[in-house]
Amino acid sequence: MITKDVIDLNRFLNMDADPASGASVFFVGKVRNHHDGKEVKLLYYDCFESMAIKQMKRILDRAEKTFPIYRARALHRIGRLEIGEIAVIVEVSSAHRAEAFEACRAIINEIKHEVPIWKKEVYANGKEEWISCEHRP
Amino acid sequence: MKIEVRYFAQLRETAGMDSENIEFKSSATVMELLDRLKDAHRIEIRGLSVAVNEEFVSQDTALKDGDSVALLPPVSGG
Repeated sequence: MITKDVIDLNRFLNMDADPASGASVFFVGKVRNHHDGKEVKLLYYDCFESMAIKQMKRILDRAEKTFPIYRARALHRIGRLEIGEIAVIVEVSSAHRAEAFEACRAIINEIKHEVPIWKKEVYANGKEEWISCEHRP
Repeated sequence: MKIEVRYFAQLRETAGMDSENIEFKSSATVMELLDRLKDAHRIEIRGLSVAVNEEFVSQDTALKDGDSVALLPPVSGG
């Protein structure tokens, strides 16, 4: 659920694939090159790893109980990330797409609010800043 | 009693350390621990969440010998 390595979408897709699942909805969060009008050069994610894994597991379990889906998975990268690299992936597989989209949105929102991971942006002008939760849907 | 305190993100940088051990002669709550750390490291405790042994707790929670207390700034994953 937490990795220091580059996230490979295909590898994640094929890893532990569920043959009973007909549809998967993905959320892929990537590092963007701007924030509040500032040019972002790279990111660092800090993490309380053991607690983050517990919290992510809890969020995924809750989604599997709340929504009529087959399975939910998530992977968050930590450490130093370059622009365009994948920071987080959420996958929800289900029989019907509506519930899968809804569950996927709920999971990424909860990851952003309940998992002890922190983002530091390093800007083109050399300054850096720890970011507070943005609370954007 | 002895409490382990762990710092993350900007708090790790402000405190200048990953963790430390804090001793209390008698009982203490999370809030009393935060008060002591605030003065020792000049850290901003408003807006912080606290986890004891990897579970979020309220600030009136009583601490026990050997507890691991994590000071968590507002999270920003995803």
